[in-house]
Amino acid sequence: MADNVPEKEADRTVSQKNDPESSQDKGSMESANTNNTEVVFNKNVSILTNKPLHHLDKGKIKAFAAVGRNKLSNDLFAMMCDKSMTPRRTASIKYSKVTNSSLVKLVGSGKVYWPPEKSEKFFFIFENTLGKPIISRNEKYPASNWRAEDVMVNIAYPIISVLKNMRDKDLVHSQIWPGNMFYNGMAGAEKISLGECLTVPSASLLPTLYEPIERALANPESRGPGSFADDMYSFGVSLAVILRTSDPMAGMSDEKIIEHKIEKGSYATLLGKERLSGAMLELLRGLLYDDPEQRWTLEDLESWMDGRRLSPKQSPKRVKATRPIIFGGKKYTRPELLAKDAHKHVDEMARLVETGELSQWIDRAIEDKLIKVRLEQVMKDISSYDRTDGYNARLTAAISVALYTECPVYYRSLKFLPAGFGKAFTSAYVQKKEMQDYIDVLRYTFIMPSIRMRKNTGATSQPARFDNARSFINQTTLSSGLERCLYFLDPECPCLSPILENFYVQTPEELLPALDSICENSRPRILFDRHIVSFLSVKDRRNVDPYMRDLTSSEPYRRMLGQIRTLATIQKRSRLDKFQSLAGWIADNLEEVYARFHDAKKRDSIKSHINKIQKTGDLTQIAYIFDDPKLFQGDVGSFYQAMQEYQKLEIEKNQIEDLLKNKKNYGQHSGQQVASVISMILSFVIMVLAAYFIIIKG
Amino acid sequence: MTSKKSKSKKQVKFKDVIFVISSLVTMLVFFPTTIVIFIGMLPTLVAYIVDRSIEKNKTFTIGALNFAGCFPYLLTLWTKDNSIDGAVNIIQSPKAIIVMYTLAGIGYIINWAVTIMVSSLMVQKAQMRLKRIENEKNFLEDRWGEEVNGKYDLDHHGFPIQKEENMEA
Repeated sequence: MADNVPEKEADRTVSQKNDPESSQDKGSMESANTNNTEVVFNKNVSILTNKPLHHLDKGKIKAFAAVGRNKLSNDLFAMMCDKSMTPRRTASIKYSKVTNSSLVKLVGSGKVYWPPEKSEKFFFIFENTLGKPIISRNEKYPASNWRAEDVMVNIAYPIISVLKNMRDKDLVHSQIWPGNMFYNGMAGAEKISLGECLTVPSASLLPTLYEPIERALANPESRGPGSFADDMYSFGVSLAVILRTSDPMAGMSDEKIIEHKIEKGSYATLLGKERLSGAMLELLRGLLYDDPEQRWTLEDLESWMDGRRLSPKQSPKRVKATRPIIFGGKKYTRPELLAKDAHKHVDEMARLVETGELSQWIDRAIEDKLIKVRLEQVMKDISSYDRTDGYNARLTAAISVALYTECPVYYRSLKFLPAGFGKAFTSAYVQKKEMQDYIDVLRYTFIMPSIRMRKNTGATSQPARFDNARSFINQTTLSSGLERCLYFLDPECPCLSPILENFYVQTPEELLPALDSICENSRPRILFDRHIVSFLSVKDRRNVDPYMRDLTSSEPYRRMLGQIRTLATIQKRSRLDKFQSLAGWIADNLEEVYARFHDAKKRDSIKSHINKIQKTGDLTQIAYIFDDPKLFQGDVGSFYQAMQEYQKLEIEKNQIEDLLKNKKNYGQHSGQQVASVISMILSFVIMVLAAYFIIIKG
Repeated sequence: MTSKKSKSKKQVKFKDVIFVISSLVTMLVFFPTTIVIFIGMLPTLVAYIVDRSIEKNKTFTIGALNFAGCFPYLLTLWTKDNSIDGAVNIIQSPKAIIVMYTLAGIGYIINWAVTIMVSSLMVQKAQMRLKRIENEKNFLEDRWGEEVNGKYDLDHHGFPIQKEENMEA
């Protein structure tokens, strides 16, 4: 337990000194200095609640003007995050280390009390060096017709330098599109700056056009963290739409565009018959390869910038069937498109599988051995599925992956990449959406083929993650279930307990001040619910799990002791302040614990001791009282002694009562004994006197 | 075994015979004394017959004072005229008989009065003890809870099992 303490403390200290993440801690502590229009963040930033910056809004993520003090810039803006879209807090540490005038600079991040909503909100504070976006955010698929030279100088070069810096810090941007590119007011009016990428989960607000095919097929919040190759693709699409004179796919839906990309490739879909200069053509072809392994890397880009001509790579052709298969009234010749649409008619897909029609099509019309092997493997897996409700949907999800390994998992309303499941799960939960489909995904094993067959990185750790999540969802204890899966699958998710509705708790250390604040204003019935227990168990397993049996016990006194010990451990380990209100709540809710003492005297003594301690707010001392193993054992031992004493008294009482039943004779024997003694003494006296008078006196 | 039992029976009988013979001899040797004691100690004999207790405390009480009543006349007999006539004279004297029997009566009164007195004291003492026991039990129940009376089925922590089930429910 103690091993973890110095490490965590050290981490906190480094964080505070070196990067804007430090403000996360301070911000939460010092957010009280507010007036009607200003919210003070980290002592040196004032967020102006009455000055929203709508041009920087990102859907639910609202932007506000902010003013810096001391060494900070006067012109800042604050982005207020939403719980349904967990911000990339861990990425923000790397982001803050990227120094590039073409990337909006992060000044700080952390939670702060937000008076308009009377709750804590998580904010990112950036330097406001951004002008207007180069295209309106409503115009997602533009055809801007910029000159190639302007694009190169003002967009390509600055963004390539940003991408290089980000690669050096191992950070994927995942929000590269013209709506997130801004005219730069600082480094030159023409050059653009790239907007931030931290306030929402990766790619969740990126328009579908800018995502590679596999990611575009998934729901936006379910795309997962993405890769550098995905950033390169987004960059390529951005350049293409800025350069092109017309949109060949104008008026078409996202789905049609994706289908076109699958059929014709991204380059052809985006640019059609657009005429581009040789260098630009080469750049866009390189960036828009649909196969991520063929796509240009930053090294390729650097070579291209140095003027070296790169030999064009041959893009592997997608498999096409010699004859189509009829599915859902449509003819399909490409397995990818069939995989994409399979979930729309799950009963029909089940029929195709069970009649062998699909296998025949793969065998005779596709003639791709890899697909055939995958399909056979999936068919074997399917035979072990429960034929319960949703069987056809599960079967279809597995079949889709066999047909197209990189496609998302399609299950009823869900379209997700395995790495993006956690964020999607959180988003659905916060928005109070129907969770049954998510629970099915976790409960059944049909997702496993999708993870195993996928080429993308990270696939190796995913099976274990889903296996663990399955065990959690199938358990009913307080520390498992859906809540545990939330925090396990999305480590950046704040605690979503209804108790903490108005708080933004991201770490166990932040939980204590929040609970203290709650106890200051009210006396809640419970402090630890399923969310808080699961949250703590995931975030601070080593320190919390020793008390998990108590926390999840059915006996209220054990639950209470578990809570006290858990809170005290966090307070002690993190050397947190004293929490008087929380200690007061504990003192007021110890009746169940007191009831476990047989000895009323000891109970009263402990009660008065705790009443004294609660004023100090030291939870460790309260826990220390109950940690003494002799306390309860001694009480039980003394209780059994008292029981024996009681039994002895009872026996004595019965004996006396039995004797007294015959009151007439009670004591007669003793009385006669006393009488005989008196009589003997008296007779002796008489005899001595008689002897005296008769013998001596004559 | 049987031979041993018969031996012990024979021994007891022999002892009794020796005792009876020696008593008769003694009585014959001290015959005047025997006459005075036999007549003077008649109340004790009656008390012995009436007293059914094993310890014969009542007999001792009456007998001791009865003997004290006889003792001055026995001394007179032994110091003056230790003969059958002397003994007959004594037992024919109403005064001597009154003295002997009065002291026996006093012995009876002492037995009666002291027994009542002691018995009553002991009843009171027992009742006080009962009160104290009740107080001690109440104290134990107040301090340790009702379950200290041992009338409940307890779990290994000493709490009533029924109560625990209710808590869980």
